[in-house]
Amino acid sequence: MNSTSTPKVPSIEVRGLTKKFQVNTTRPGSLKTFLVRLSRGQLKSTEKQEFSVLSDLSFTIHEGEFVGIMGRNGVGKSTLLKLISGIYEPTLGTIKVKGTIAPLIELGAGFNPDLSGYENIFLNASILGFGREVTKKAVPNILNFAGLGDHIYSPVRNYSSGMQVRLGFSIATHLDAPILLIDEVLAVGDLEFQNKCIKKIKELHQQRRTIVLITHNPEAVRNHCDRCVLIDKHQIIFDGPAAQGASLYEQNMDLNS
Amino acid sequence: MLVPGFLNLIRPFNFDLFCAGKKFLIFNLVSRDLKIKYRRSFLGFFWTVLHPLILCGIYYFIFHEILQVKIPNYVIFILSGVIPWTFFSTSVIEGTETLIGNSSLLTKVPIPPQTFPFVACLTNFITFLLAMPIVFSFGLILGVSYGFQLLYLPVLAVILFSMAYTLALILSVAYVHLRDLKHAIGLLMQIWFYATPILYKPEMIPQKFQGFLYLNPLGGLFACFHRLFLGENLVLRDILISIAWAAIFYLLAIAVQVKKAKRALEYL
Repeated sequence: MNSTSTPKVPSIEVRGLTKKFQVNTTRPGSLKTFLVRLSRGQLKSTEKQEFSVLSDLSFTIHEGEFVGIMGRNGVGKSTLLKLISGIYEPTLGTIKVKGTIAPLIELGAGFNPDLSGYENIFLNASILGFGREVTKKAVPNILNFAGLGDHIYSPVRNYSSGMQVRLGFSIATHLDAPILLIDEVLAVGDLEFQNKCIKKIKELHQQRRTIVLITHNPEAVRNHCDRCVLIDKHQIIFDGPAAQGASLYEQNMDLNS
Repeated sequence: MLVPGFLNLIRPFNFDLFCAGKKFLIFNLVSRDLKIKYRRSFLGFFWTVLHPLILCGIYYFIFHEILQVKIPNYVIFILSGVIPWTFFSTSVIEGTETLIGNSSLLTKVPIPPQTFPFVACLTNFITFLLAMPIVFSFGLILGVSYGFQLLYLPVLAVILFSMAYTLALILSVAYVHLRDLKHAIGLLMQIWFYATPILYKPEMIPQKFQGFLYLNPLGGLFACFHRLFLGENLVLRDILISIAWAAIFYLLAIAVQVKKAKRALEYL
């Protein structure tokens, strides 16, 4: 890591983050039930149960870091991702994010099958939260990387799933977002394209973009990340060098299985 | 910061109710919807306009020819009510379904939840505006002369849009929690259509029901639309009552959006 040569600038700051969900087993769920309850005066009696998905998380991710977040299914990795990207709001605590986030959570989010690939670039970029100028500037690079040739002008409904992923990945990675959130999307497309993706992400890493990867794969963390954050039982149980974290994750999985 | 009061209406409590900060996104989503509507079938726009026109034809036949309703210029009367109503009900019904309909996007990409009801209403509003010349052409052909009251059309259109949008905002959040709302809304809109003086004049309502007229949020507004397209002078009281109703919807929508909309995403 080059922490000694360049000053650390925080990119994502999480302080005391707690997220609780309400499991309201007696929620009406339908207008019919709601009206029946209303007529019987039973509306207020609904019991509210809360459970914490994440409790009191604090960590800072600095500019240019490549951080892998690991944990078993259901420990709240996806919830954390949604909190960082601003879909959910924290129950307690704060999240400070510096700059636009490119979520590579769903590639080609909101692609419309009836529109051409070219039209979908603008649609997708705006859905990801980017503006007109940024998108226009990125179009040549997006087209170049996706390598779809003249297919770009035909409707996306005629694309293979691999072509769609190529376009989606290309859009998300060429919009100059300082932060990338990746949720195990790299395991798609053919091998050649996978390698191209990994190369692209490494290139972005070298350009000092902040990258957060959510994964189950210790190998990926070992090979690509600078740092690993392990989450278990709603809390951070490890935050340190990637190789160490990946090994700990493997041990942890063995113990519990 | 030139007109802080006005800005606050657009961004109440710093909440971007009218998606002013998301112009590129709104532009792309609306143009997507319009392209899909009108590209796939060459007759797309034609159908969107033809549908209410045929409805008007049916109403005209039933109410004028069979039931012998005696309202002068009944063709214009029906058109001037049914066209705004079509916008209103389509926007509310489509807008209500937008949060559920776009759940896969809303749970993966940070998009303000109000974006989708707004886009639904805006797309329908464009169709509504495109239908306006048709209504005026009918009026001119049938000998209505229009004067300065036309200046009120933008005011009425804004009130209509605001009511449809704010109602869609409220219902879209409610629909997340009450999944059978869709059936109820279709029926309620049908009742609302007949309870509003769209096919008849407010004066034709029997005395004992007259009081209900102004309890209907759309009563005053549709009276205005009728008068405007028939070339009559608008009644200020009707406009003011409509604005008051729009304000009530607006405040309710803000309350629902600011307090509940984000949390609703967790139930998608």
